[in-house]
Amino acid sequence: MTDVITEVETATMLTLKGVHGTSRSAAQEIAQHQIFQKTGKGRVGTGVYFWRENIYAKELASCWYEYRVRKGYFKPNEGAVIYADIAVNKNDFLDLEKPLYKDALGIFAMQQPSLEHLDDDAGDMGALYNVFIERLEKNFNLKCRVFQIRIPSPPKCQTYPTSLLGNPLAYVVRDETCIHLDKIEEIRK
Amino acid sequence: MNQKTMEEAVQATLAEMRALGPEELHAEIVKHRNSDLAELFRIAREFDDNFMRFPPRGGPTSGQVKPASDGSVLPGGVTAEMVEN
Repeated sequence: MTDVITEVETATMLTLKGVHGTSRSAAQEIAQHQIFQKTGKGRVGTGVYFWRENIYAKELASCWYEYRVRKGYFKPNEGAVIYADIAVNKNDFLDLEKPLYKDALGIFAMQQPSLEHLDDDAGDMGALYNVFIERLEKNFNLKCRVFQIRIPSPPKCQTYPTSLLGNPLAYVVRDETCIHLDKIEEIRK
Repeated sequence: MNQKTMEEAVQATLAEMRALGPEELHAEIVKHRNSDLAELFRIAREFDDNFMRFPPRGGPTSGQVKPASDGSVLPGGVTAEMVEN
């Protein structure tokens, strides 16, 4: 096991280390052109998703690749994991996991009884975060280039101890210029 | 935007969302079900392929839950068979 410094902070900048699971061909494209395929078009949450680098990050990225294989997006046995540095000005970074924000979200949840009827199967928790980010950016005329959020680990990712650690941390990078490729590793079973 | 201003913006946005009526908030959530974040939360609920799907809240009446061979059903509709798996 190697120690990884997953966050470097200066007076104005944050450099975060993230891990992204994809196909080998997509990884080669990214290495060649430095362009990531964002997950969707015109959506608030749209961006490149990275797991925060730690002992479980590669497994989480691999599970995501395997999930996409099962869904027919990628061919089997051709997975790759991309390691990258994500450099962002602190003022363009939104940490949705900050305890202060979580507390405020808790108060909101307690005072909005309709949240009891959220449909987990429809992804309403994620949709609620999306509503929040859209309103935040619109009202205050700001654009978060990177945000941090805990998202559930992909299906069949049994190694990650959610009950011990909570959902894993992810970075959503919405400005690709923040991404600096470090290395690519093939996923081997 | 500095961190202090960001904190105020977060609080103000949540206050604004708090002021929404339940129907209005629900309608907005439904509109965002096609977002990436919603998809990621939804995917986590997919116990696809050979994975057994846990029953919805309310127990085994949905027909998705079969009692274990000894007929036992645990609280919440979780069967002994599910626990073993």
